[in-house]
Amino acid sequence: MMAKMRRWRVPVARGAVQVSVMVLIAVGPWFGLANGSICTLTVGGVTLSCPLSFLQGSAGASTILVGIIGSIAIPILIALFMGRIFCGWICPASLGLELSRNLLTSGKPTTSTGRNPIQFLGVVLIGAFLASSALFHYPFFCIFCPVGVICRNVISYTQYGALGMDIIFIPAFILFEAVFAKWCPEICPLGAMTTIFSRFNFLSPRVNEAKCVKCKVCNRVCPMGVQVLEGKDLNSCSKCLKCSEDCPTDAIDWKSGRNPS
Amino acid sequence: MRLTRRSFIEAIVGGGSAILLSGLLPSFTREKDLVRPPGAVSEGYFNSFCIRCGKCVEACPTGAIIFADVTDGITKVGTPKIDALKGPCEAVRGRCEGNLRCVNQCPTSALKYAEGHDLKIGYASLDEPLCIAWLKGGCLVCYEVCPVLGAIVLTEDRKPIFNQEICVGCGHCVYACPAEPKALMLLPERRRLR
Repeated sequence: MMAKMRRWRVPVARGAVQVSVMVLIAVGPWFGLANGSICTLTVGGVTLSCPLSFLQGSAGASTILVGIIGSIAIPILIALFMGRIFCGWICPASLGLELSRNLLTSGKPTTSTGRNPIQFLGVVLIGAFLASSALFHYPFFCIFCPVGVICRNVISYTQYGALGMDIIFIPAFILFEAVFAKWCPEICPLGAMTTIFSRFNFLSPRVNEAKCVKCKVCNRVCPMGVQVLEGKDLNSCSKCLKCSEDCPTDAIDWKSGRNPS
Repeated sequence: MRLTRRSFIEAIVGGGSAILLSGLLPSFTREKDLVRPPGAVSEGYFNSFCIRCGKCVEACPTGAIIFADVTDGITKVGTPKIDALKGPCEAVRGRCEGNLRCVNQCPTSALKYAEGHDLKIGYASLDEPLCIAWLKGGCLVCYEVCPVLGAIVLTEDRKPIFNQEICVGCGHCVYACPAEPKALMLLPERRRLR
């Protein structure tokens, strides 16, 4: 019983953070706490912007969006030092996809595909979306970006009580995940961009060789496909703490330091 | 860190289809002209500049700004548009006079307004067969709420006539029109800044 409760402690904490960010976006403007969505959020006088929308907007308009060039700095700094912590603790889409994944696979840990180790597809997709923005002059990814779609529908529902038709992209994403590949670790251009910036990880899982029994549970439970045991692809780590929570011998510590390659 | 042939093929197929879809999808949907919030740059620039963050939607005190939907065209999903049935734009008279909240909130320069420029959001268009004043007379609601001098003039027998050149398209008249269905519609103005 205790072990079971312990297993749910961290996912519940992460879900609580993710949901409270959405609640902040929903009710923030009523109390003057926050304004905007994850695409551009002003909270406490500080503005944070999505670097991908900055790039797409700049490519589409053939200028630099000077308005948000300053506000993409903090997200990039967070990515530099904390990697994909946004994916594990804030992103509402990763919460939704994780829940649907758990329901579809009835909670069993998914096997790591071992494909696409450095999010090659995601990096190529960033380039493709920038090219399409420059060619057709609209930010194509922002149209169906799951983060943006969720935020926009949260705002529209709280502001004027209606959901947009773009909400159909959400079940489409879940279907896509079930049929093709995992969105977060393999495709998501936002995640790929964060991985590119993830250089000096202040928190990364390190295996304590003295305790480790090489059962590879850590590799299996990792939603980002990080090979924790081998210490590979740590740039993709979303700090979800799944590996250290599920480790049967508590052999995983969270340490700072540069990623080995 | 090893790239397999499979991941290369995936990347080429994925990236190529993303570019193809972004080019082809707009031809399957009808791209409507939308009434943009005050100070919007010209439509082509607006679509690139707007990052679909929804700050203007949250900032509007009357709730007149809503998100464009898939039915407005795939390239416009998530951009702001003015729905005068939800509320009027108070840029000319009301809470936003001299302080356009949507423009102030816009993080990119999709919405920008320089003092001294004409504020032209769109124009109101009257469907006379639905108008109470034109049908049986007595109604002057649009004339009374209009904040712009000369945008609505009255004929001898007190029927409203709309001047599209003077009208700024704030939508006060559309919001207030008591006819059922509304005799007034807010239409987009094609000529804008830039």
